[in-house]
Amino acid sequence: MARGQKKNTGFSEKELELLRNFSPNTSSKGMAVFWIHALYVVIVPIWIQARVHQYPVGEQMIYLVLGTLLQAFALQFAYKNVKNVQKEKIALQRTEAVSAEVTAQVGTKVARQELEDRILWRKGEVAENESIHFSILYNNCIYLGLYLLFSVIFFKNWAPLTNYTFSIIVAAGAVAGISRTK
Amino acid sequence: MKLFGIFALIGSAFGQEDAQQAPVEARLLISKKTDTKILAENVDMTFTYKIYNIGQSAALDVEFTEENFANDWSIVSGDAKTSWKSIEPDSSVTHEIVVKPSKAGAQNITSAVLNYRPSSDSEETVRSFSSDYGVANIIPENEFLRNHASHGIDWLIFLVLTIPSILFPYMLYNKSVARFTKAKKN
Repeated sequence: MARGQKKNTGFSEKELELLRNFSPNTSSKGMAVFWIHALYVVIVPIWIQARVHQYPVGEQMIYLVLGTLLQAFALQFAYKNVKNVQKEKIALQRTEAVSAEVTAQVGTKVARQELEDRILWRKGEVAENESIHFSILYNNCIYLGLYLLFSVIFFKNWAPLTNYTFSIIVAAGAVAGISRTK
Repeated sequence: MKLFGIFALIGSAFGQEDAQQAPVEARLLISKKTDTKILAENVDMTFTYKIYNIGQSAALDVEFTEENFANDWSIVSGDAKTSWKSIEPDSSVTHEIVVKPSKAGAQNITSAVLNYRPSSDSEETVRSFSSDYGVANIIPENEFLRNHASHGIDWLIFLVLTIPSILFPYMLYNKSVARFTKAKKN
């Protein structure tokens, strides 16, 4: 095969699109949503650190920046994993409803094969969106809950920097660690 | 000898009765206290001064001076120097100052001073001192904020900040679930 020529996968364009719909890879739009949410949710605890624990933000900013980046990476890793696990479950749950919706929309206008392909595609789309929202909600609740528990109760008498470091290790670490469980 | 002892006892009883009577001229006693439990930098403290006249005459031209809060303190409300034309016998007046320490550490808070004329005939003034507070250990502001402040507003703002992270994903997820549950039923 000449250089630059694409390998023939043997699938049609439509089949490739369906495969992409059901692949565990998250779309670029989904990844962008994950990163934005991850960066935002890990910045929120800095408010509690600064106001309640009197963390010296100006003097120790570098630790906040490092912590934010590492946590954001852990959070988006967790989002992806939970989303992949949930997508399969949601796709199974929504089969009937999606079939009814698509059938109601196109009815007998299209051939049976075309209708089935549309249902499959729509099911994948619905499962993708719903699993993204669920994953963000689920991981954010656990992350913020663990952070508050450890920062405000268990580590409350520790120095601000130590409090921050250990609270985020526990919260982000736990979220990333349990994200692969089904 | 026994007779002398009896007369001495009777004499001392009369003497004690005289000592318990109120002084003829005005006599002012002043107490100084604060109910503020936690003394912290940049946190308001209220000092209350109660001036009692235990004499039988009115105290005239009463001048109150509090010089403890001149350095490293700021006065939030009330006057460090004030005066009353007279304080009647068997009566009292109350004065309050709200101050704020601008420096942490141990600070010695001594007495306030009262100058007054004990009677209308007297041209000389009498000086009286209040009780002193003693050494006040002012804790640093960040320590106070960390350990004692309520942070109500901060927690409210935190709740608002979590809305995009929790409420929005929940609403979107719930909307999708409700839509497809309804579609399934139909």
